[in-house]
Amino acid sequence: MAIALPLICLVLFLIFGMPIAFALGISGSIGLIMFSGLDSFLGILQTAPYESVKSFLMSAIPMFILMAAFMTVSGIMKDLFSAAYNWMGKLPGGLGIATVFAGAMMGAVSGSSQASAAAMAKAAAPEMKKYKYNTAFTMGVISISGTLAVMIPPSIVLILYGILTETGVGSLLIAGIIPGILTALGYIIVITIWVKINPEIAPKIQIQLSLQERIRSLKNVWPMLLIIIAVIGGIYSGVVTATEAGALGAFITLAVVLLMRRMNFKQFGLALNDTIKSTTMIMTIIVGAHIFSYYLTMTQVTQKLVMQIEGMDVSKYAILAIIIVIYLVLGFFMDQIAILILTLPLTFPIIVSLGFNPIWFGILVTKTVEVGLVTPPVGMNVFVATGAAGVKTAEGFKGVKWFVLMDLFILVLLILMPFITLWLPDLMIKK
Amino acid sequence: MNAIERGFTLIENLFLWFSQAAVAVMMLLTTLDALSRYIFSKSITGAYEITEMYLMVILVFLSMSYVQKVDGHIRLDILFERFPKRMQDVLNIVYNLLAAAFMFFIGYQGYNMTINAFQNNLIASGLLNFPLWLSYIWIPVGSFLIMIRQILSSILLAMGKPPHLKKEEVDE
Amino acid sequence: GNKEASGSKDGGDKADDGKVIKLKIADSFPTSNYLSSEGAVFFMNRVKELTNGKVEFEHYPAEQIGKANSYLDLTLSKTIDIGYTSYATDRLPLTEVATLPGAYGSAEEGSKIIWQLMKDYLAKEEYLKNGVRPMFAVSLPQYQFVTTKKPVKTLDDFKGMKARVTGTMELGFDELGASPVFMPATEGYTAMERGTVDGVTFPFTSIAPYQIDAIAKYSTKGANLGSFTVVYSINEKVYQSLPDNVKDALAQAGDETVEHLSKYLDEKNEELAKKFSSNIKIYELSKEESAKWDEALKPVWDRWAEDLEKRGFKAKETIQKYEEIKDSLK
Ligand code: NA
Ligand code: NA
Repeated sequence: MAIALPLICLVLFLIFGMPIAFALGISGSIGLIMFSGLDSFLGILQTAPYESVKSFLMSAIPMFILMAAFMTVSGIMKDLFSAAYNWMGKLPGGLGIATVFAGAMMGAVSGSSQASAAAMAKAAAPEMKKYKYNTAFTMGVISISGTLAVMIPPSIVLILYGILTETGVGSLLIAGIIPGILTALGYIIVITIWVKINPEIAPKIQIQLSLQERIRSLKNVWPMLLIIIAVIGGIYSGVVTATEAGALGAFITLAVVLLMRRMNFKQFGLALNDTIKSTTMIMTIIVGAHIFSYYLTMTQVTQKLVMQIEGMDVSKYAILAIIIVIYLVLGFFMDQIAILILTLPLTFPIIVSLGFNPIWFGILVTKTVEVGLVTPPVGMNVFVATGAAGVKTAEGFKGVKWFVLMDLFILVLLILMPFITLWLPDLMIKK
Repeated sequence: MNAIERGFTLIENLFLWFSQAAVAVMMLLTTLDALSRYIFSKSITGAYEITEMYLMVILVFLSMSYVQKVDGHIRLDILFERFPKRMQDVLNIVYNLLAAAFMFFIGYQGYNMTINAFQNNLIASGLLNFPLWLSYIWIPVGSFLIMIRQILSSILLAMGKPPHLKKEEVDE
Repeated sequence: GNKEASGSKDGGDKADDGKVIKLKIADSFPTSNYLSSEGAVFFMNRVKELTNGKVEFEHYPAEQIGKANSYLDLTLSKTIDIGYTSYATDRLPLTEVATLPGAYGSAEEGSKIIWQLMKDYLAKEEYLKNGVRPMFAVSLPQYQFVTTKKPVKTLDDFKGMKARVTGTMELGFDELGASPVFMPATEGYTAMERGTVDGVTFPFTSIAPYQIDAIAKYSTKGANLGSFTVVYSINEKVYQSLPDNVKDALAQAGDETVEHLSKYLDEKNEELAKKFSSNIKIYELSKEESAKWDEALKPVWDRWAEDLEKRGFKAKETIQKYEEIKDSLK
C-alpha cells in the first residue's frame, strides 16, 4: 500500500540509525510529496519549522535546561546529592534512594525530564560508581528518576497537554502532585526489593556518621534549597508563570553560584552550550514530528483509525484501554512531545465524548509519557543519562525494566482510582 | 579539504555564539519582565515578542549545524553501533545527504519568506513594531549552515576521514 | 490520492462533469468550540446542501495542519483550499479595523459592517492582492475586563492593572494606563489565580473554555474594549476554477454563516452573562460611563491608523468606509 510507504520509511530510518529529527522530517516530506503534491510539501516546509520554533511556551525548554546546567557545572547538584547520601546511604540501595529524592526535588523546579536526567547523571553516577554499584542499576535509577520531572509540577508535558486540549493548566499541574509522589515512592519500593533480592548490585556502605556530622553536611544543601524555594515560591506567588519559571530559576541559580564563586567564565559557556545542544536537539525533533504529523493528517489515516475506535461497540473502558495501549506502543518509537501533538487532537474528543475527566486523562497520558521516555528503542531519558555518564545505552534499558513495571502498576492504579488524581484539583479549585 | 572544514568551523562557531547570546538574553529578559511586572506592575514592552520571534528562532536555527557537528541530533544506536565502521560511514553519508536536501528546502522557503517580508516591509505590530524579516532570516542562514556541514561531513567520510577534524572540548 | 482535491482544479471548468469537488478547509478551533460548530461546520453544511452534495469538504480543525499563524501561507501553497486567516495581520492588517475598541455594539452589528466592508472594499484592497478571497467574516462580542481582586468601574480603576490582552487591545490598555501583558490564553487561569495578572480581556464566550469562571470575581458588561474578527478565506485561483453555481453557493453560504454565527454569539453572550452571574459579579456600565471609556479609547483608532499609513496601508480610508457602512446600516 502506497499510503504506508512513508511510515515504512520512518521505521527503517529509525531502526538503521538516522537521526530521529531527520527521519521524521524526511519521511514526512516523502509522504507530503506523494499525497498532496509539491506545492503543499513546500507550503508545509515553509510554515512548520518556523511556527514550531517561534513559540514563547517552548522557551520553557531551554530555560529549565539552563537552570539544571548551572546546577551541574557549579557542583551544587553534587552537594545536594552527597548530603542525601549521608542521610540515606545506609539504607539498602541508599544511593539509589537518594537519587530518587534528588530527582523528585529536581522535578519540582524543572519542567523538563531530559534536563533533570542529564543533571543527575553528572551528579549521581560518579558517586554510585565509586561505591561499586552495578552500572545497569545506576543508569536505570538515574533515567527513571529523571521522569519524575514530567509528573511533578511544573511540567512541560502537562502544559503542552493543557494547550493542545484547552484544559486548564492550573488544575493539570496540581493534579500531577500526588501521582508524582506516588511514583517516587514506587521507585523506592522497587529499589528496596531489588537490592534485598540481589544485594551485590548495591554494596552496603560502611560509614558511620554521627547525627552531628550528618546535620553538618546539610550546610552545603542551602544553595539548592534556596533555589528550589525561590522558584517554587516564584511560581506559586505569581511572580512568574509556569513558562517563565525556568528563566527565573536559571537567573537565581546563576546569581547564587556567582556569589559562591562556584562558576568561572568557561563553565558559564559550558552551561550555555549544554543548553543549546539539548534544546536544539529537542526542537529539531519537534519540527520533524510536526512535518510527519501533517503528512499523517493529510492522509486522514489517524482520523479514520480514531473514528473506528470511536465507533466500536464496546464499553468505554475498553476504548480507554485501547487508547492507553496505543500511547504506550507509540512511546516505544516516538518522541513524547511529538506523540501528544500528533494524537491529542484525535483522542481527546473521544475521551470527552465518553464522559471521562480531561484532567484525569491528562495524568494518564503523562504517565504513558514517563514510560515512553525510558523504553527502547527511543528512550530519550536513557539516551541523555547514559550519554552524560558515558555508558552504553543498552545498560540503561536493562536497568529500567523493574521501574517500568512499577510505572505500569501505578498507571493501572490511577485508571482504577481516579480520585487519586482528582482529589487535589477538586479540593483547590472550587467552582 | 581540511582548510575548508576549518574555515567553515570558524563561521559555525560565530553563529553558535549568537545562539549562546540568545540563551543568556532570554534568561535575563524573561526574568526582568516578570520582576518588573511584579514589582512595578509594568511589563517590559516587547519582551514576549522578542523571546518568541527572535531569540527562540536564533537559538535553534543558528546552532543546528553545531549540534550536527557534535553528533547531537540523537538516533537509535542499538542496531547502528553494532554495524562495522565502514557501514556506519556509508549510512552516515546517505543520512547526511538526505538531511542536506531536506534542510535545503527549509532554507529555500525561509529565504523566500525573508525576502518577501523585507520587500513588503511586513511587521508584527503592537505597541512596538517588529520587522518580520529579522525573525525569518535565521531560518535560511541556519538551514544552509547545517546543509553545508552535512555535505562537508559526507565528503570527509567518503574520503575515509572523520566527519570533522577534532571533537570540541565542550563535548567532553 | 488527495491530489485531485486542490491540484487539478486550476485546469479547466468543471461545471458539468458531475464530479464531486473536494475542498480542504483548516482552522485552529477544537470542534467543541462554537466558532467551529456554528461557524466553519455550519458553512460547510450549507454549501453541501446548496450544491446538492457536489461540493464536499475535508475539515482539519484544531491546528491539525498548522499553527494559527500559518493558514494564509497554507492556503496560498494550496496545502488547503480555505483557511482561517484572522492571524495574518502582517499582510491583512486593515481587517483589524473592526477589532478596535467600540467599533460596534453587538456581534450581529459588527459582523454586518465588517462583512459589507469586505465585499465593498477590503476584498479588493487587501485580500485579492494577497491571492485570497474572504468567504465569511464574523465579529465576536465586545471583550470585557474580567478581574479577580477588584471590580473596574471607572477609568481610574484601570491605572496600574495588569491585564492579559490580545491584538489591538494592547494599544487600548496602554491608553487607559493599565499594563498590557501577553501570555497564551491557556495560562490565563493560573496567572489570575496567582496575581501574575489582575485580569483578562475575554468575550463571555471564551471564559468557560479557559476555566476563567472558576477564578474570576468581577466582570464588566457593556464595555467596548475591542474585539476579534474571525475570517475564512479561499485561495483565489481555486475559487476562479470553480463553476459559477458553486461560487454562488459559497457566497450564499458565507452570507448565511455571518448572520447565523453572529446572532448565535450574541444570544450565547447574554445567556453566559446570566449563567456566570452566580459566581462572578457582573456589573453593567452606565451609558455615560461607557461613553467616557469610548472617548478615552478613541486615540487608539488614530494610533492604529497612523502606524499603518506609515507602512503604506490605506487605514484612514478604511476607517472612513467602515464608518459610512456603520451609519448606513443604522
Ligand atoms: Na516538574
Ligand atoms: Na520509548
